[in-house]
Amino acid sequence: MALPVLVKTWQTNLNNRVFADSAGRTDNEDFGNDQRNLFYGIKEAMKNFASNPWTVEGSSDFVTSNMSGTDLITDPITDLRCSQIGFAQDHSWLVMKQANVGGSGLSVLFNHEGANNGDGAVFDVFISEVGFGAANGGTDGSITVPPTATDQVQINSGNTFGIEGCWGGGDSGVLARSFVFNVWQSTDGQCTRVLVLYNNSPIGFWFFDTVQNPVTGWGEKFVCGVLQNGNVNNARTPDYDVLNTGTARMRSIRTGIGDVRLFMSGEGFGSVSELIGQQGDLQDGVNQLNQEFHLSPINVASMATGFIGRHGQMFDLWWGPELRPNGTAYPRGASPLQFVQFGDIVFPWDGVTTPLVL
Amino acid sequence: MPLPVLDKAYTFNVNNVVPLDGGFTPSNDGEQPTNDRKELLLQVKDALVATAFWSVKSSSNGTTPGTGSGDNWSTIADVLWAINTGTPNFAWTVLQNTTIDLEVLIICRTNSNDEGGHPRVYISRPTLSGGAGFTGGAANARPTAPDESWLVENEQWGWGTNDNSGKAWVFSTMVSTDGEVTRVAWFNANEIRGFWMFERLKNPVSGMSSPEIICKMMAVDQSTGGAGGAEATYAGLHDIDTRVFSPQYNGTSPVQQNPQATSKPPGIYMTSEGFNGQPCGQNFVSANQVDNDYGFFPVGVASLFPGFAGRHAEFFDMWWGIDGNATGDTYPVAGTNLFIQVNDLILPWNGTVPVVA
Repeated sequence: MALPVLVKTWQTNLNNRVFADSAGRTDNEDFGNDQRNLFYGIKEAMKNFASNPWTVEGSSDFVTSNMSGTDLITDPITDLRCSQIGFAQDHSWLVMKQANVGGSGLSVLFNHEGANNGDGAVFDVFISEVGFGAANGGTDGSITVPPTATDQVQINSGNTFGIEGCWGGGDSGVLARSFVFNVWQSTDGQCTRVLVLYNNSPIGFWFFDTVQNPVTGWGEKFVCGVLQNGNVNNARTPDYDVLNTGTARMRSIRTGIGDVRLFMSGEGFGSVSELIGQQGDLQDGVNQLNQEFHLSPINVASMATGFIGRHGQMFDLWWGPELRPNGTAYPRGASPLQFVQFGDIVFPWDGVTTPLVL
Repeated sequence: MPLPVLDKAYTFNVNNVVPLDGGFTPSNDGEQPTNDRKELLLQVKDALVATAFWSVKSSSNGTTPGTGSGDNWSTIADVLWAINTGTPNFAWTVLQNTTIDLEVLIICRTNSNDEGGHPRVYISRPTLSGGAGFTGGAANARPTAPDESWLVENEQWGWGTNDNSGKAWVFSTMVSTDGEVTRVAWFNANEIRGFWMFERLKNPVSGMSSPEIICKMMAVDQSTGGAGGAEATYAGLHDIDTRVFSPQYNGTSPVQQNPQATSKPPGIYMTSEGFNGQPCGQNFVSANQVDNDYGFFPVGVASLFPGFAGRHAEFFDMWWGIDGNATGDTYPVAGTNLFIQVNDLILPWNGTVPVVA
């Protein structure tokens, strides 16, 4: 196929390294310093894009809290603490907002409470369209209790491990890990993606995306996910098996329904309708007619009751050949690095930076 | 979703009724289909050659071999079937569409005692191959072409394999006004019973030869007596690689022609958008619950055949639909008749009320 033409322009913050440092845990639920640095680095990247960056709506550094727009998490080591969920212990949390996602903007609460003996491996993530805090009809929270929103939806599995739960490669064990993370945001603020790599594998994939060509009547027109996986499974998060089949892991909010789950659909064939990049020689090979790798558009579809249907398309995101290594750059030949594959998904790239996949 | 915008304009010839006639001409000798089945084949041929793009290059009615003299099929008596052994006289016809460089040879020979259910069909692309297409032939011998490849042979295809009961048929044809797309469908008892398509492909990848075409001729085994078979379905066209698509597909390169040299054309799948192990049209059993529209899911072309592996192109003006919807349903809403569901596919329609029974 011809090389995709980008619909949006992208701001990127690529190849950020976080070095292994398991120190800093105050108990079994707390972060290690490497996990602190990873979260902090992503947050800072999202805040600091030149065009339409995310804003902080409120935060807790487990000493004080606010919902008046102050980012209290100014030091990754001293201002972040994860505690055991259900015990109202002092902990950090962060509410960020991107006003340009979907039909009316999106707020995301990262609440650093997680599983017992989680070693910072699990924390809760909630989304809201109307916004968190008393000003939006919810509550402001404190250093022990996170803020709430009237329409909030939890988009990870919270107090459990697994593909939607684990954070920073943790998996109920104190381990020091080195990470690489990449952050993308469209200049209009409509799409943000985060990709975390550990041990040459993408273990974290966040996305907060407005959907392209939404069907009539889908005013919310956004999808999101905070997919993370621990070292136990070491599964890739941007993966056919995670996002196209099995449990629908992409999330949105639908008026009158609330939480709705979606699949990333794609073009396929065969008795079990595997996608083109999963098929035979095409898993790791080029189209044998035009000698190009096939990049297939990603659409969004749902089987959620009241929300069934194919609803739109992701901007500038494609399914790639399943067995291509992480960091594979496209196109082949001249001017590569326009697109880079992680897991099974191909992302826009900046054209010059060699992707780091440590 | 917005209604699709057609790539092409079409000449339609729809809702043609072929009455039930369970008699046999000349006699019920085990090879002859019923008269209504012969009439169906005859009228489909007539409908195609009535357009500007199809003609009969040569034919035989089993008595007069019409090599070079055009169409010898005028009545059902000319559509003489014979057993596929020995050297009996039999009918054959070569339909040609020069716009897409295609010749289709239909041979009225069948397996023994299967009531005319096993015709043979071969295809040639003379310009692409540098040959003359189908030539020769006699009252008891079919024409041949240097590049010929089978499209239908000894398969459960025809007007009722192992079924010698009369049926009433309705058939419709659509041919694009540029001659690049031809489709034929026939129906009985609200079910599709046969589907042909001969068409150029849309947006072929670079590296394909031109013109790139796809052909398919399929019909149900009527002996099941039940719902339609695999014609125009996810099961028949998306799920499996049937290897009965066009020969000479992408055939200019010697390397790429090699697969056809075995007379086994490369297997082609008709792709669909999907998730969770199924096409969208099989996941969904109703209209989209947000916009209340039924989905029209574009049909792509892909192959895993060695040397051809890849996603190659799309179909013009053809979509997968919700497979729970019935043959004859029309879109965008009932009564508008702008598109018709034909088994699991959706095709353009001309606004008339479709007849499928």
